[in-house]
Amino acid sequence: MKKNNSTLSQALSIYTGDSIPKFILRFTAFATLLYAGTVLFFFLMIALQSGFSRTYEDFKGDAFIAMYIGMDIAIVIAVTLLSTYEKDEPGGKFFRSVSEGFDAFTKMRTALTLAVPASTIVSLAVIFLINTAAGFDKKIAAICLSTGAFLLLAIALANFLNMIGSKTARGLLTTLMLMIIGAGGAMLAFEKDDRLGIIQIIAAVLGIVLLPVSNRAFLAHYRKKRWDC
Amino acid sequence: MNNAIEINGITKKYKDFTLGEIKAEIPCGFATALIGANGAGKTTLIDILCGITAKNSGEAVYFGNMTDIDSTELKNRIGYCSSANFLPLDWNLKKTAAACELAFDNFDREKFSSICRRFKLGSPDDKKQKKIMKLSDGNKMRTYLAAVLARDTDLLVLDEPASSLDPLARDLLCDLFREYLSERDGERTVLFSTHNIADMEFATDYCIFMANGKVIEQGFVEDLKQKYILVHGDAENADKARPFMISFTGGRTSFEGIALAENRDMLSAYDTAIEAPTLQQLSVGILRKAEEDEEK
Amino acid sequence: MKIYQNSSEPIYKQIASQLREQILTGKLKAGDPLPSIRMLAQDLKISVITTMKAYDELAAEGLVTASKGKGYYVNAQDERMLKEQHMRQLEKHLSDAIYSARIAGVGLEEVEQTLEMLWSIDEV
Repeated sequence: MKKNNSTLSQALSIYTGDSIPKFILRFTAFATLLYAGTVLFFFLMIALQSGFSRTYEDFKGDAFIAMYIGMDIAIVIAVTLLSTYEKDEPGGKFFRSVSEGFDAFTKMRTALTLAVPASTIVSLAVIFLINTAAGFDKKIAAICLSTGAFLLLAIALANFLNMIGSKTARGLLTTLMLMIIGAGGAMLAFEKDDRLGIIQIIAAVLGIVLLPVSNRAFLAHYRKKRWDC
Repeated sequence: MNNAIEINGITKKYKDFTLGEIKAEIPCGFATALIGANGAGKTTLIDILCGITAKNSGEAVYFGNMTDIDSTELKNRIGYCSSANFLPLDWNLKKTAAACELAFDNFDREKFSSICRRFKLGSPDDKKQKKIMKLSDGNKMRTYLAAVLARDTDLLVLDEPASSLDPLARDLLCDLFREYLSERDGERTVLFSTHNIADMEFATDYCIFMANGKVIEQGFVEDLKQKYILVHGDAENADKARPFMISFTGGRTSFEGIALAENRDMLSAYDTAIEAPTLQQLSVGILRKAEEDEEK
Repeated sequence: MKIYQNSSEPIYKQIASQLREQILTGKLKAGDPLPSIRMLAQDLKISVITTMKAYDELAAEGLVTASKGKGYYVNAQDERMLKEQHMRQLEKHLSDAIYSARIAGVGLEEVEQTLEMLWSIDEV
């Protein structure tokens, strides 16, 4: 029998259809389109009343641009992290029968814990470029960096929240937490007038440290409560 | 005779249902049907045997000497497929082939394509792919079957494969079992569950009957057909015949039921017609009796 | 080979008697292979257990032998054994005839007359 030990990328591919690079691409595309779409929508709505150039000036460095950066990416993160692959859901039984069993699931989750932060950073970079190109470049660098630092922490926290039993509670709390921290991180940089301080560094470091910790904790919990049952 | 699986005392406790203790054999080289009403525990047992659900106690021995269902080797050798919640509904043939190729050692993409063609499902290489959720129940099942049949496995375990298939498709399923078994004569085994054995009767070699979480009868089809008889008689003899019968339905003019063959002589004295039961008639009789016993 | 799924005669017996007939009348000769149990089961759309049972019965009667890994082959039937088999068939058919005669109230003399008449017709 051919020995089949999948890589992290392959394990992710079994569950989501995307290898890690493809995942990052898809995430980034979705997150940036969501952001661009949201901002464009509001821009057009307001511009049709107040005039294009006036709206353009207003938008430059407006608070809610910062907020949307945080919230839109937070939503995409939530959607990605909240898929559960339970036995009684479509696909659940197939994934349980995969030849590596729980190891394949572990590799998939670990791949996510690497790919989601990576995607977040790439998305923020692209959003930074979009904003610079559109001329909305007041404070935008700081906003993106701050959002990124806080979202790193939020992703680790999301892993912990994923251990909540009730599906509705899990979904609600995770999404809310991500959105609040995302928007909060963005607004912090906005208010602090372009200065990145010790807070962002602490958030980023904490996030990076907690990512593997939270992943391991989640996997242990998942194995006990929802796999070996 | 070798057994593909030997089930020793497996139990599983749920809030309002208990499975066990199950003691049964799945003989190697044959097609075994797990027959029982909905809720009898067939899916639970199959899930435990394939490592989908964890058991509370007992053990299963596979291929004579393997016991760890989570081992990569066993998971590769066993081809499991259910009729519900098997593949994600937003997948299509292309995605299914890609995932199976990564998930298993023995998935043959060519074979998958040819089975899909045979089942008139299209091809995993088509430009336009249809999502599984848009397929009819019958085609959903055919997709799942294609995925598992495309693998080179030693034991095929199918949970209610016939339920969403029309009689023609069921006939095809029987042929597929036979092809699967004869490809490596004597070394491959099929186990499938069903609540209606009618269309699958003649592809079945061994039966395990389940009710209320327990195995109530098992054996080779030929042996079962010798152990039991189908009895028809007139209503006037109904009461006299009844004590010797296992299952009994009586009308105004006649009665019918299943009895043990050892009571043949007694029953023929009551002006009855005795014949060998079909598996379908046997199932109805055995399961009906189990239901009556449970109500007592 | 033709079998009746719903007959009161077990399918394995139907198969065994049809094959027995073929062997005894020489249609299947010594050394001829029988179809594999799985092939036969597939063609007749029955369980492989049934064909196994039919073949086992023929093997027990000494008509065929199972060759490990290769399948079942027709045994050379020696003259005496063949005659014995035919005698058994003859006795069975005669018993059926006697049974019918008894039901119809036909006496031994009339049966013998009928037998002689039929024998002369059949002299081909």
